[in-house]
Amino acid sequence: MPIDIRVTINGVSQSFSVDPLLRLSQFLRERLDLTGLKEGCREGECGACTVLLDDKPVNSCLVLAFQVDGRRVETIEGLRTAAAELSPLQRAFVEHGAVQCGYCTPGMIMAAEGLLRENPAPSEKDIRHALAGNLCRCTGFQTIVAAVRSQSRASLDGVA
Amino acid sequence: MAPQAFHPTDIDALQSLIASATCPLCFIAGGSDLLVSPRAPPREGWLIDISRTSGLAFIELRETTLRIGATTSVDAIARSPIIATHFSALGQAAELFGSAQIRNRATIGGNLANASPAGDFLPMLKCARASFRVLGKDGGERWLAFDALVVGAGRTSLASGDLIAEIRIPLVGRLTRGAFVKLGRREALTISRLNLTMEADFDEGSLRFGEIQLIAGAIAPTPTPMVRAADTLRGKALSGSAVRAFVEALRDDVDEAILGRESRRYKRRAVMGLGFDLLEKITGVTGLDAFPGALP
Amino acid sequence: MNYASRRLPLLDGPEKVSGGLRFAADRDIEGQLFAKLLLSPRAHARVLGVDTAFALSAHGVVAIFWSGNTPANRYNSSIWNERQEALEDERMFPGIVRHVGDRVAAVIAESAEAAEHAAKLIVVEYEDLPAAFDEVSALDNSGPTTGLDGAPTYHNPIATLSFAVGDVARGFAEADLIVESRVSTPKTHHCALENHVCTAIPETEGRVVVHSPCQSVFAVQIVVAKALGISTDQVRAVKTPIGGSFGGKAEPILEPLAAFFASRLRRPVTIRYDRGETLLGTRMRSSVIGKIRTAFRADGRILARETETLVDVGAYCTGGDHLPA
Repeated sequence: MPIDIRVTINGVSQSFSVDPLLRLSQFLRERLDLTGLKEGCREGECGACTVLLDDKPVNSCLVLAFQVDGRRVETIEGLRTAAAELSPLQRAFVEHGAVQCGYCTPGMIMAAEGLLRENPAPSEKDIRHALAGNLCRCTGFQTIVAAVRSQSRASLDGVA
Repeated sequence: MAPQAFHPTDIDALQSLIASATCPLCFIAGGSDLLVSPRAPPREGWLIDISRTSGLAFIELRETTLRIGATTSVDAIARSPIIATHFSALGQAAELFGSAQIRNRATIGGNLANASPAGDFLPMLKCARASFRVLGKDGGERWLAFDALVVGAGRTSLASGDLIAEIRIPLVGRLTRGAFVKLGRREALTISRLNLTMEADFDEGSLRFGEIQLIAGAIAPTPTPMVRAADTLRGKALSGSAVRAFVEALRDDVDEAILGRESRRYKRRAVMGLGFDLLEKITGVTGLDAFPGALP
Repeated sequence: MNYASRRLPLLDGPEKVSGGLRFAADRDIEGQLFAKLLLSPRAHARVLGVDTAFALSAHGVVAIFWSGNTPANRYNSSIWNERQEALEDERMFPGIVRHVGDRVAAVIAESAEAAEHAAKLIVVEYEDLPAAFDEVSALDNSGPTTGLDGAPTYHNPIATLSFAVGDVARGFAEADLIVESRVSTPKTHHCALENHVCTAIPETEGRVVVHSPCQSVFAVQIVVAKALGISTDQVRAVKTPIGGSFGGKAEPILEPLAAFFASRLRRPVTIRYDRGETLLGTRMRSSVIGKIRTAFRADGRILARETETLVDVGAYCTGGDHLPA
C-alpha cells in the first residue's frame, strides 16, 4: 500500500505517494528525473548515490523514500548558486582536474559539501576521512582532495 | 507486493502499534544493513520505521549509569564528549565504522540486533557489561545481559516484535581507559576481519597496568575474551618482554578460538600486529615494537 | 604549439559537476522496454529446458528470449575490424553455459521491476558438465563440449608464442648462479563506477541504432552485425558518455542482445546491469601463473632470463588468443 510523504527537495516542498520499498535513489532518479546521483552498487560501498539528508551525507540507495517524510533532501542539481552558475566547490572540482569520467562526481561533491557545511576548515586527514565512502576509479583521489582543500576556510582566507 | 509502512512519532505510538499487530513485523532504523542489496525488507506484513521515533535516540550520563538510546546514530556516538570520556572504546569504534554516509544512518541498536560476528560495537558492549532494555510485543519490557541477548553468529534471543530500546552501561567500577582497533581489507568502509577491544587501568607515570579486560571480535560467532593475553599484562609494567608475552598470548588465544578454520593461519599472525596497535592506542606510548625484546 | 604547456579545463566539466551530463542509464527513452537477464548459476552445464510459461504471464512482460528463440550465430566480441580472424565461440544465449554468470535468458517488460520480478519465475533445467577451475587442469582439456551445442570448443592451449632475443643458452651455460621464481597474478575486474548498460532503438527498414558507453563504435557495429546476421550498414553505433571502462567496455557484450530485442519487438530496449551482474557477466583481466629462471654471474650481472607463463583467458576466447603477442 503506498504511503504519503511530504519532503523538501532542493528547497522545494512537495507531496508524493510512494511504494514503501522504493529506495530514495530510485525515487529521486526516476520520479523526479534527478539523475545526477548514480547507482553504482546498491550496497552503500561506492558512494555514487550520495545526497544530503538534513545537511548530512547519506547513501540514498540505503534510505527508503518514505523515511524522508518531513525532511530536507539536497542533490547535486541543487548546488547551483543561480541559473547556469556553479558553486565554488563545483568550480574547484573542474579547475583542479578532480573530474575525469564524471560518474563518481555528483556523489563525491555532495559528500564534500556535507563535510564543509559541518567543518568549514577541514585538514587533509578530515577530508580523506569524510570521502572514504566515495570511490573514484579514474583520478587517484589526489586532485579531489586538493579541490576540497581549496574550499576550506583556511585556504579561502589565504592562510593555507 | 509491498508491506504496510508506518513511522510512529514516539515510543507510546510505537508500542501501541506493536501491540496491535497481527502480522509479521520488520523494524527499520538506518537501513544500512537491511537494505544492502540483495537484501530487502519483506514484501508482506508491516514495516515500521523507527528512525524518526522520538525518545529512542539519546546519550545520557546519569550518576551510576550511561544510557544510550537504540536508534542513536553511529555519527552521534563518534562525536559525543560523554562517550569519549566514559566509553572511549565505543567512540573509537564509531569513528572507524563504515563511511561518513553509513555513520549518519547506522544505529547502535541495529548493529546489536544484527549480531554479526564482525559487529564493531559488540565486543565493547560485552566488555563494559552492558545491559539492554527490550520492549516486548505484549507491551512489557525486560532487561537482558549481553550474553542473554547475543546468542550466536547473527542470532539474538529477540522474538518477533521485540525491539531493543536502550543500552545501559554501569559506571561503577569502570576501568579508566579504552581502546579499539580493527583490521579489514581496507582502511575505511571495511568489515572487521579481526578487531580488539581493551579496557584497562594504566598509570602513565609507572607505565603499569592495573585491571585489564580484553575481547576480540570477528574470530568466533560472538565476541571472545582473550584471557591468556589479558593475564600476561594485568598488573605488569610496559616493557619489551611484557609486550612480547602479550602478543604471543594473543596468538595463542586466537589459535584456540578458531581451531580448524581456514582464516586461522592469517588471523593468528595478524592479531600480533594488531596487539601492538592496541597497546600503543591505550597507553599512548608509541614505538613499542622498538622496545628491546618486544618482537616475537 | 597551441596546446602544449597549457592547462585547459575539461570540456564537459561543468556538466559533470552539476549532474547535468546524462549517462546511458540516465536517459529516459519514450516507449522503452527493460530487459532483465537470467544469468547461469552453474559453472558448466547444458541448458536442457527453459520454461517461460509462468514468467510470460506476469504483469508487464512483453517477451522472453533464450537460446530457443534467438539467433545461433557465432561471434567473437573482441574484434574491431570486419576482416579480423578470431576464434568464434560466443553466442547470444548459448545452449551450454560455460561460467557462472553466462547468459541463459532475458525477460523484456514495460518496467525494470516487472522484468526483474518475472525473471525469477523462469524455470531452467540444467545438466551439469565437468568443469575446470584452474589453468593447469584445463591444459588437459580435450573438450567434452565439442559439437554438443554446435559451439566450437578450442583445445588448450588456444595460442602459444615463443621467442628469444640474444644467445639465451650461452647466458645460462655461463651462469654462476641460476635462480628460479614463481609468479602469479589474479583475475581482476576493471570495476568502473558505471555498470554496463545498453539501449537499442529500432529504425526503419531493418536498421537499429545502439547507444552504449563503448570503447569502439566500430566494434559495436561489427559485432552486432555478426551476432544478428545482418550487414554492418544496418547498424548505427552511438557512444554515450562513459563512466569509466579501463578495458572492461572494449568488447560489446550487451549490444548484440539489445539490438536483437529492439529489432524483434520494434521498440527501444534497455539493458542495465547492476554491480553483481557487471562483476559476474562482463570481462576480467586474465590471470597468469608462471616461472622465471634467471642466470646470474657472480658479480650480480644478469646474463639471461627465461620466462614461461600460462594465461587463463576465461570461459570464452574473446581476445585471449592475441594476448601472447
